[in-house]
Amino acid sequence: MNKYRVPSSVNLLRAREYGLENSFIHIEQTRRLANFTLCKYRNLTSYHHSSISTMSLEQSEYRYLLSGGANGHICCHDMFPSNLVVKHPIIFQIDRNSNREHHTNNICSLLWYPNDNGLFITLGLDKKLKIWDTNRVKTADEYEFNNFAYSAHMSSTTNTSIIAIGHENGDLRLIDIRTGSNSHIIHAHNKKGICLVKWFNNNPNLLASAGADGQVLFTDIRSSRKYYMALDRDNILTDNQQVNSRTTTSTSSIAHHRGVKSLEFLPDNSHLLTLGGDNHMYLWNVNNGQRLLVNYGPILTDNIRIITLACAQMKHDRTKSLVYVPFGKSIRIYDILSGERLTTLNGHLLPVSTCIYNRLSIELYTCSDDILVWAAIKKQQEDYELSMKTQERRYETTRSLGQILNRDQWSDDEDEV
Amino acid sequence: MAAMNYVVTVQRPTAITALTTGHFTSSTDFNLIVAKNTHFEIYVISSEGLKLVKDVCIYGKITVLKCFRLSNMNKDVLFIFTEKCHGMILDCRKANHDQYDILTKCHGLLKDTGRQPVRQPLCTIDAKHGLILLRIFEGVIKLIYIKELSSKESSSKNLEAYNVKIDEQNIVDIQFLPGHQKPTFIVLHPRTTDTSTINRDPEEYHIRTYQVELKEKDITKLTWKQDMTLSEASFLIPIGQDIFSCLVIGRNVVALYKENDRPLEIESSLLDDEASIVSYCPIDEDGCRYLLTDYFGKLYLLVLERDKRNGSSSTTITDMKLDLLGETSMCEYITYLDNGVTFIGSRFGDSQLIRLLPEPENGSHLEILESYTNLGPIVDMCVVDLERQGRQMPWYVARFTYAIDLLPKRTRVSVRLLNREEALSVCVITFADDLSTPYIAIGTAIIFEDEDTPKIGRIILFRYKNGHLNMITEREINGPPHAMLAFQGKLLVAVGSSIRLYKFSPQTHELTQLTQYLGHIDCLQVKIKDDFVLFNDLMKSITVLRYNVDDGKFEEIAHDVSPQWSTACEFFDDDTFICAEDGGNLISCHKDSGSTKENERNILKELGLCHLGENINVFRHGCLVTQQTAESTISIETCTLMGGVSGYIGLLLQLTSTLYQLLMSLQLALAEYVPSVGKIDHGAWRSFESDGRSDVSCGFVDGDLVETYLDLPKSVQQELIQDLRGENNIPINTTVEELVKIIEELARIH
Repeated sequence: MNKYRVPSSVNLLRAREYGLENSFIHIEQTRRLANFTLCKYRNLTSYHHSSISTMSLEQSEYRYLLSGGANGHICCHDMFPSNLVVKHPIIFQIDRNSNREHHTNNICSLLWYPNDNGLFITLGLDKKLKIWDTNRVKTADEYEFNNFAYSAHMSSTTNTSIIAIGHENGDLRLIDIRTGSNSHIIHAHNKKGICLVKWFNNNPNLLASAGADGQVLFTDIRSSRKYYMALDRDNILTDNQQVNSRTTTSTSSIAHHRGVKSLEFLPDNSHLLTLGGDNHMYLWNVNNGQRLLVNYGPILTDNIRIITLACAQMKHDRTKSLVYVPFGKSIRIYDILSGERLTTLNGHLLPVSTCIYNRLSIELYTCSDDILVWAAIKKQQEDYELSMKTQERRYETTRSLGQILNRDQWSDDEDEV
Repeated sequence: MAAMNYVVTVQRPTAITALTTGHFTSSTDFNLIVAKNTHFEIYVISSEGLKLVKDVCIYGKITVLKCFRLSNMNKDVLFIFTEKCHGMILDCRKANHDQYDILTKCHGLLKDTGRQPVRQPLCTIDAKHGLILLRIFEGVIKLIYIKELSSKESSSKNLEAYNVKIDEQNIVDIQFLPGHQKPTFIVLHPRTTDTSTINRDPEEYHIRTYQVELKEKDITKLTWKQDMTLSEASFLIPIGQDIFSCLVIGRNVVALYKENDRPLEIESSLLDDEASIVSYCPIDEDGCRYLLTDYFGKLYLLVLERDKRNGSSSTTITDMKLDLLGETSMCEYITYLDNGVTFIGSRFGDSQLIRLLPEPENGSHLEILESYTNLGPIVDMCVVDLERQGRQMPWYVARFTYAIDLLPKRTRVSVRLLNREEALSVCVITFADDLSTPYIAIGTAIIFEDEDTPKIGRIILFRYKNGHLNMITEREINGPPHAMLAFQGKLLVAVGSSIRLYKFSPQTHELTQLTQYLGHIDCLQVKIKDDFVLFNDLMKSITVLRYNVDDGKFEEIAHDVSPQWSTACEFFDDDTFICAEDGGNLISCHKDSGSTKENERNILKELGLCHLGENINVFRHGCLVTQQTAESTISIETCTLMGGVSGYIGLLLQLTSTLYQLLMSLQLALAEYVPSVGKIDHGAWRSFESDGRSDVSCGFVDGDLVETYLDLPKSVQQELIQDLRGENNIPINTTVEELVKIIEELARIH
């Protein structure tokens, strides 16, 4: 926790005023990252009646949040303004009542088009992938598959048009939305199927995929090889000579003993976090495939099929990296590089599936059957509660003689505000 | 509704941000080149002193400025790198009548995506091999190959740059080692921060050596390396030719390392434990003597003593000596000129020209020859009318032994604060219930370094009567009072995240809180206009409130929903507000009062965006001229001054729609016509850029560019207005005379 301690805000403000502090924003972000508290007075207009399986925040304004439910319903909330007390409106919804083109089954993946927010992509368990025009809320294109697809992802680098899709039979499908071609299939995984696909942050040709058998493979889509690296949990990065590290990339290498539930690249582009059904979370170096010896302790993942972790990493100092991990009904915050558990966020009544970090507003969105917002506003919220209490008291005692005779007593009460 | 602002520089930045020396203007001239944020000044050094010969503006903030000379050239050229990652190599030609032309030899955008380091970009140049090395992002170094520069071609070539991966993270310094066959450089970096080594002592540093394979455009590791334990190692100084040796300067230690040799360290008692060394410069060509300066402005002389036994050519250094020479301005840039004369460049104080004395006079080994004024950092400012000549003066609210010159008689009073208590804000106020007496309110907070935000503070009220100041009352508050203002005979205070209003009763001598508005994170500055209150938040942009006199409460009128890390704010008029942001951008926000939809009425639209390249601390209404000619076409009512960290003072003005269209179309024409130093596109320079957001510039006319129209030859002036087009591509008809008259008027107000 001490790692996330930063200088007093007043001193920092003064240093900025005198031109002594160039990393002001980074430092203020660091202060807030590990100090999240539930925003009790920020509500999203309720919509989902079933559990929410996934969410996606648009990356050009960091403003619009898509959420998809187990019943195939999708809705979009406007997360601005991030006031203390606010009700976030629904921008649009896609369901049986509002849109003929809706999904009929669980939403597996929601993707905002990386370059602008005029387009988003949805993948459902109805074996359909749809590309939507955001402004008209109408499908621009649609793909139907023969097999179930559990995960879709699009590279966040500019000028990309390829969606990767992981199928239940182990096929890795590439769709180029510019040309509409959907026939490129890589048979990387075995028949147990692919749970997750994710593009590398900084390279539009490299792809990570995770199987139900616990395999995590890195594929270069330009190459004819099925994959160029398979993560092996026994391939360990260590200073200790007694621990023999294995560097084979045989087909037997597995990252987790059971199916992989989460795959998340760190913003530094050189680390990957995986979370498995074996209740382990592992940190990997993506350049050499070595597992770093960080112990996060067991992480229970029982009820949720696919979990989305949120990573926050300080741009100027990558040792300050946090991950927000759904852990049953709560969210645990770990320091990624040391494995230290910093704090636990409680507030959901059902198991949490997805965490999303908004790095512009410095807040966290999490979902189970509802969506909650977390931010570093403990003091502001306490101030608000106090002011509400004082107001109530004022109404109650407006007519009290004490107040009329002794106004100073009132000002004393307000001292606490 | 549109944003129609005019922004122009009144005072160029005065704080020095980089220094270099060389034979730039000609092979016989020796120049001092001083970068001041967005412009650089070229001086010729002569026996009479420094003579300013040219001041060059750049479309960018200069972060690297280095003179160098390729082996086949007879004079130096200048390498500049800007904050928006534009690189350029400039040459200078002397024209007639002491005029100097700046030529761009090479240019290019060197931007990559990547992780920003904590430190400024690092740059080192190997002139022998024609190689510039830049470290802009973590894990990557950029190699720039410089080919032929001496050609007479006037067109500029693109910089040839290659990225190379480097393992070392958080690099502190990079330097080329001179004299090697292949370009060889050393890297200073702190211990690795991967998980396995996370808990080691933080004071460990490493030196690594690399060689550049010019043909392969790659680097290879060399064997020489050095691990060291130093406190805050900050500089590398290569020593000698064709050997592996360097000096490392830490907070209170200077160490010499050499391949196959024991390190030589001095821990002089002269070096302060508190103050780290912030800059250095060599005195002689052979690198025997160096000048060092520390954080408190102390100047030291470091002498390396060589082994005399093996003849004079020996490079073995046997001892090092450190002497204190005296005190100067606190400086981060120092350069030795000639004959003991040294230039001291400061960001926070005046820059100085000093002479080093062989024998001490009055206990100091130096004599200050000249001082160069620096206005920065401008923390606060007010506009004072002196004999009808508008003149602004920056003043500070830093200590609390506070001189109050605002009252008729000069009064000095000092108040002792508690331990750890600091004054954050002040205001002069007359309360509604006691209009005859001026009061002074001081807001303080008790600051602990390990506390995120102060939890306790107070408002102290003083009364000024008959030439005396008396403390009347104090009131405890539960947060830092960032700002204070007199508002309708009451005291308006921004406490932490809230805006509070206090009234004072002269009978009971008490401050009573009337109402409060709860904001977002931290309310930093507050401005008022009639019933309206405007404040900017640490990270939630600006909000407009109205004080409802009947209810005695604040109601929120509108706010900007974008998360902007704002630094300052001001009213333009009832519906237009200006906000400065942490990344050096200006935002003008507009309220749509006429809208029928409620959710549109209470949202401020960001209609104007512009990159200023200056970190603005303060806006103040006011103008530098009071009188206007009768037939004036511009109104100076909305005139607003702004002051920045670098000593920059700028002026903002609202334009009428037609004038805005005219000037904007002229700006576009000028941006294409006026050659920019380093071939930086004007649009790229002014485009809004902050952490996580970039946007094209809009709603601001760049007065600095538009006013260059006046200096153009008549034929060009005529040519430029041939095809001016406004909104929707509608042609604008104007004459040179009309335009010149308008622009002259605009130029006159600053």
